[in-house]
Amino acid sequence: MRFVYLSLIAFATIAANGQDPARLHFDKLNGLDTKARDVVEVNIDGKLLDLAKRVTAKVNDEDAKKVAQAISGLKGIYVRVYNFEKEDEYNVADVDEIRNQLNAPGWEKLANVRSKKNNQKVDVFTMFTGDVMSGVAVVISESKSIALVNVIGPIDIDLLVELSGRLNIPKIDIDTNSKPKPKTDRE
Amino acid sequence: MIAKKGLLFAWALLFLAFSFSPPAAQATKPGGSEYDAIVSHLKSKYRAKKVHIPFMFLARFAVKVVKPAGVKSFNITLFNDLKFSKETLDLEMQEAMRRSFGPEWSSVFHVRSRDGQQAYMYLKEDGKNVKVTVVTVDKEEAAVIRATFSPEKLADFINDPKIFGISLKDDDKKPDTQIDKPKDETKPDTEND
Repeated sequence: MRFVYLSLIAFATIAANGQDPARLHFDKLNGLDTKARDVVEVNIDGKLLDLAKRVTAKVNDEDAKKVAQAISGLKGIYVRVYNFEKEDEYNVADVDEIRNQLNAPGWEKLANVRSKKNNQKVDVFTMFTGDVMSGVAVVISESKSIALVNVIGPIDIDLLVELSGRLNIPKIDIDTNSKPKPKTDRE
Repeated sequence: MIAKKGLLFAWALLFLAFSFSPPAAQATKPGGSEYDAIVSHLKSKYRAKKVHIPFMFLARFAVKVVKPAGVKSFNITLFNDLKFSKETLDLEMQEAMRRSFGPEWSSVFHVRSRDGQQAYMYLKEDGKNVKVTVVTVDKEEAAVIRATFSPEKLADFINDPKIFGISLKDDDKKPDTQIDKPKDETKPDTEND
């Protein structure tokens, strides 16, 4: 019973803060704006996603309908890229703090690359709610650059694969048939 | 008869004077403030020279009347000969953006480079319409663009592109839509042979 109360309190706290568990906080990197040579910041959320949903849902086109379906549950896409002039111009601990956020319950490590060349570190994490992917986080750091991508909301991989190669979406070669399927397929 | 003609001419002039009001006259309009603040920042801070766009007033008036693709109004101001320091441009522009765009505006993207390139896009919902403002600085040149459009009308336009009742659909290309359909995968790929 205590667990239920604690869960309810935790849920209420998250709801009150209006924060999604899949949302990463990039606040620690705000100071890099002035240090970096190039900065890219993309925030596609709320209003813009609603707008895209409203337009794509109304367009009488099969691809547009699929895009509308693909983005229907999305809550946000956030990208940060920082390129530096020289090596070690940023504090590695700031990026590690973001990696630490991915140790929170719910996140699962999908890929992890460490290379001594340019001190490259690549981490790809996913969050699942039941069988549905509800978040993706990519953290890439090198000696002269940092790149972060955070996608929040259900992501339909099958639909993305179907849309890939069209509408300027890069071709994704994933064998979606690799999953065990019932024997209803024409084989 | 001549007096009547003169009166008509005067009315026409008055109508034109109000309809084709130059962008500067919009500075006092509420909602135009962020646009004007950025334009003023570029003009005063970097002593930028405004580029004259011929027949701009006519284009703006035409858009206001025709509303193509749901675009209800737009405004463009181009500058050249910007004089800024690469070291301070970044901070100055960020500060100007923060000052100009209130919390009702959502920042869609910022791209900044120390080489003197900057691009900002902001979006705001205004009732059933959406306002978009794009600011770019590329070395010595800058552009401030603002447009107000209706997403519903944009979707209608995509479904049935029409201006003044004239369809813009390329009917000759109708059979080409079949190309988008997946090809017969059972057929062996012999095209490269």
